[in-house]
Amino acid sequence: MNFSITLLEKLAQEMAPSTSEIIQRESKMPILKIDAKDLRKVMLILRDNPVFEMKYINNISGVHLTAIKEDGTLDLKGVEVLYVLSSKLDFSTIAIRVDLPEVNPEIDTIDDLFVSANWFEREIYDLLGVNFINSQDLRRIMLPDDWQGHPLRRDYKENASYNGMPTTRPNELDAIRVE
Amino acid sequence: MSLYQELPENILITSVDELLGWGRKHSLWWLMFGLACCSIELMHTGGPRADIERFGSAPRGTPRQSDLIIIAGTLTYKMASRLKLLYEQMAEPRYVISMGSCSNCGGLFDRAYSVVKGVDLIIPVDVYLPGCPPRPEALLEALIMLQKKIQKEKFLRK
Repeated sequence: MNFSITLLEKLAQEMAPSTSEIIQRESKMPILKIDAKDLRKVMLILRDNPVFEMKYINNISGVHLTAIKEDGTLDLKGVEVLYVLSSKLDFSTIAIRVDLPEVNPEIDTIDDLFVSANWFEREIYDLLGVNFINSQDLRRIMLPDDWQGHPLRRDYKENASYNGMPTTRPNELDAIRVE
Repeated sequence: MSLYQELPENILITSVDELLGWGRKHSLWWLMFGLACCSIELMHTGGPRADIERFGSAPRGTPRQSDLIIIAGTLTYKMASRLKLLYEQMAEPRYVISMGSCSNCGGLFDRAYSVVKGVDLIIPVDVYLPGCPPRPEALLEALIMLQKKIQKEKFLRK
């Protein structure tokens, strides 16, 4: 691993001493949790600093965080976006975690810093509804353009039909079921 | 002395319906429409071991030359409109084999947001073939069932 955990701590100190935090520091993929407004700054340092040389973005993933309350309803806790970067020096990996609010989650785009980031961002926009500010091309990537809602959100409700196609199938066993 | 023995050589007696059905059932050209892992089994069926072409069933690359469409795999809503377009481009009479659990009823993706819960919600289906995925022998069985159906049809009569 070319970057030591002390370097990472130094980076975290330099970025935002109050808002950043290192999770899983013993693991092969330490996670640096930062504030959403620091994202581009951290990404630029990781990409351009010769100590890190994180030129390759493995993936960007998103999770809709929830907890189940005592009465059975969902407690929505916002969206977490995880950027996984690899170094071209020795393939060591780091993850940058950003927590976004539940209502109107938005974050700066990094598709001008990493060319391949655009498709990942489009996927997260498609499935979780995160708005990437100043993105070059923020459209749905997998679902049809006229799709309603973002299906990997926990509060997603499926419509009864899509373009005239029913989304449920009647159970044939109901016809012969004896009460 | 039967009629057959009185006939000269190379003459057979049959009905027109029988002859047309015999010809149609042995020239079922199918549209290549592999959507997911079932299409791997579909390719095996075209290979030398199962060899679907010995039934006169040749793969085609365009719906305009096809009599049969084998829906092999998971149909999503995005693909469903394309499937409908392809089906409408096929010349009548046209037949549909729904291959595998996903295209029969959604199968494994029963609760998924993007998968059509059965191809018969989009287009009419002649043969449902269960399995996940079905073996090439099962697909041949489905083809033979469809051939039997075609043989029974009165093609010239409405």
